[in-house]
Amino acid sequence: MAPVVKAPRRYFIEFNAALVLFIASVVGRKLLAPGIADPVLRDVIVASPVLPVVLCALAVFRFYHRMDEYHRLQLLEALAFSAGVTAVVSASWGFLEDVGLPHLQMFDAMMVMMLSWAAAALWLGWKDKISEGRGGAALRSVAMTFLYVAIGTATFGFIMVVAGFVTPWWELALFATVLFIARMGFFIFSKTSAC
Amino acid sequence: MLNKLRDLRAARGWSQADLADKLNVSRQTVNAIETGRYDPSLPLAFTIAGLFKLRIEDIFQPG
Repeated sequence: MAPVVKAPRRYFIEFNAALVLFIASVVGRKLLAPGIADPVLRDVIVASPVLPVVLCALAVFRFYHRMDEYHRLQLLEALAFSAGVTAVVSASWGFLEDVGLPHLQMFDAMMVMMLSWAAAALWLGWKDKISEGRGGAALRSVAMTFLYVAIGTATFGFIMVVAGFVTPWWELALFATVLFIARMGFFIFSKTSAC
Repeated sequence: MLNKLRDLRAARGWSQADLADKLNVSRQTVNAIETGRYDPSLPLAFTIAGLFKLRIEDIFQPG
């Protein structure tokens, strides 16, 4: 089997390992931070989800260097689309805040970027499958994507509730977005297209 | 670009996956080249030509 064919599975494993670390750090900081007196240590623990976020980005970066030229082009096209969408949305929103729209955080711009990137990449992948006459496989993949994101996000929310925390909407949205990205990469670049 | 990749592959009895494996690309990439949705880079075109022991212009022609 050509090395490029193994790339999606390696990416999926690396990305999901970073996700597990992300959940652990988000839960861990809520559990541990209030009881820590040392301000430096507390800040380190509160900022700990930054590490898995960087690891997620590294997983994508490593995947980019393992994929072949056609998939690299698709990935970059999707990224360029998301950069454009984020620029238009963030600039427009910034002006519209002056006429009363609520002020948003940097998190929101990042979510717009990730969601539009994932949506564009999914669209490119589905287009490929449909052009190959595999519309059924494309539909199954859409259904699996929603199941994966819904079950994963619900599990994350359940863990947080059991741990005794109120989870803000943006944390759930961030997690769902990250799952969507993970699923997108595997869906588009898998050998069988039927993951 | 037009290309004869599908015919050359079929003549050797290879599936898209077989050819993809020999070129170290994904099956989707072979499909995209065969259907004209993607033109390969020069290095990949040379690899394809080398595999079939032909010149690049014997496989790819301007559309």
